[in-house]
Amino acid sequence: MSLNVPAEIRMINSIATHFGYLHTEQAVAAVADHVRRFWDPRMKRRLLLLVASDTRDLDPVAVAAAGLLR
Amino acid sequence: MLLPEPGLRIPNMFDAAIEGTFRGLFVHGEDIAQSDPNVQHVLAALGAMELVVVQDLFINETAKFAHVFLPGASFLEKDGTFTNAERRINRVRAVMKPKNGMHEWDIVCRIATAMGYPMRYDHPGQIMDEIAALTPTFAGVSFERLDEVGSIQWPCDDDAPQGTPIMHVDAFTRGLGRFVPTPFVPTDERSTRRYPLILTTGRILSQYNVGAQTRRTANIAWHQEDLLEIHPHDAEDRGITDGDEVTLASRVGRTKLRAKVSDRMPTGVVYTTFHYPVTGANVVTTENSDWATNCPEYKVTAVQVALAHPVIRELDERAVDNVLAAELVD
Repeated sequence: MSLNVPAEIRMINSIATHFGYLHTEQAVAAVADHVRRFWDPRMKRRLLLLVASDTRDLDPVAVAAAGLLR
Repeated sequence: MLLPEPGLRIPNMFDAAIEGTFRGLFVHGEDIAQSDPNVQHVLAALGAMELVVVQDLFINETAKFAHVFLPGASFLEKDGTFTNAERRINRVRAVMKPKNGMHEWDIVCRIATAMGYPMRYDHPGQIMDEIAALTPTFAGVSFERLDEVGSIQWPCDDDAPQGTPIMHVDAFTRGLGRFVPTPFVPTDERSTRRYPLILTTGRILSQYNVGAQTRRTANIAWHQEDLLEIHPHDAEDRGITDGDEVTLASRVGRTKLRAKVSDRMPTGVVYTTFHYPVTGANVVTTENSDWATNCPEYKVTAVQVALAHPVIRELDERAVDNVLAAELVD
């Protein structure tokens, strides 16, 4: 994925790839949990804004995880 | 007061600085303007901040962006502890007074106090006492105890007053171990026609990290410059011979250094160290990082290498791009 893609998108996609070994529902929860525990509030807010505006570059698991962070 | 939320990691601090939401940084004993990937991005971030404070032994590359520079102290001037990779806490004792007239910790305490958070200690042993009071695995550690036994491996507490040479002998902290799959998460970095080689960077024994300390010693006799190691086949394809000056370019930047033709590298892979700011190997490395900790991906950067003809050096960046593109077509 291009470095022009925002860091939050690149990061959550690679987190989703890592948790790809889990069933989808568990993966969504694991990605959301990781972001909740380890991301700065500014990055969480920016992620939600990015997800709200465009999900083309996002892994579906990442989109669903972002939904749990609202 | 410390906020309960996690903070930004270093690469994310740079992004936030450029966005304008991260405005100040206190850098203590680290040279991020040379050590971190995509140096141009780092420099843009440092330039965007309202306040950069650097405390270091030397005027390093980061210090050039500092609004305030505070003198650091060498280990010979320090009274405290070092904890090594086997969790062993050792005392270090000063053999001379700090040349700058003040202990590093005292400088930090004075700044904190001036900013409204009083930090007053008479001796670094009191700081260790505070660490022991707040950190369960250090609960039994103190300067007095270290002076008595020499060194201690944490965890050191009521259950293990002598420290813990081997951890998890009978069980893990959580009880039984838990196996977790760690699937391979491939990098997004790809070699292309424009950038067909993979650059990996590393260290050499005689220099330490960015060389801020070791470049100022006689160690430079062993390693006077960063060299680009390239396989003979890759060198021949590009008309490069041993000792030639070459350009090293990636998607984020370019630099120049001398080539060392060597079969230590496989074809398709080139290698260099990052000890000299004049080379600035991290000018070409990217912000790609691992999923869990955002540790930069210093080992995989798609690059192109070309002879740095004298004529190229006199051209502007766009012209250099054109020359490189023409060479690729050739």
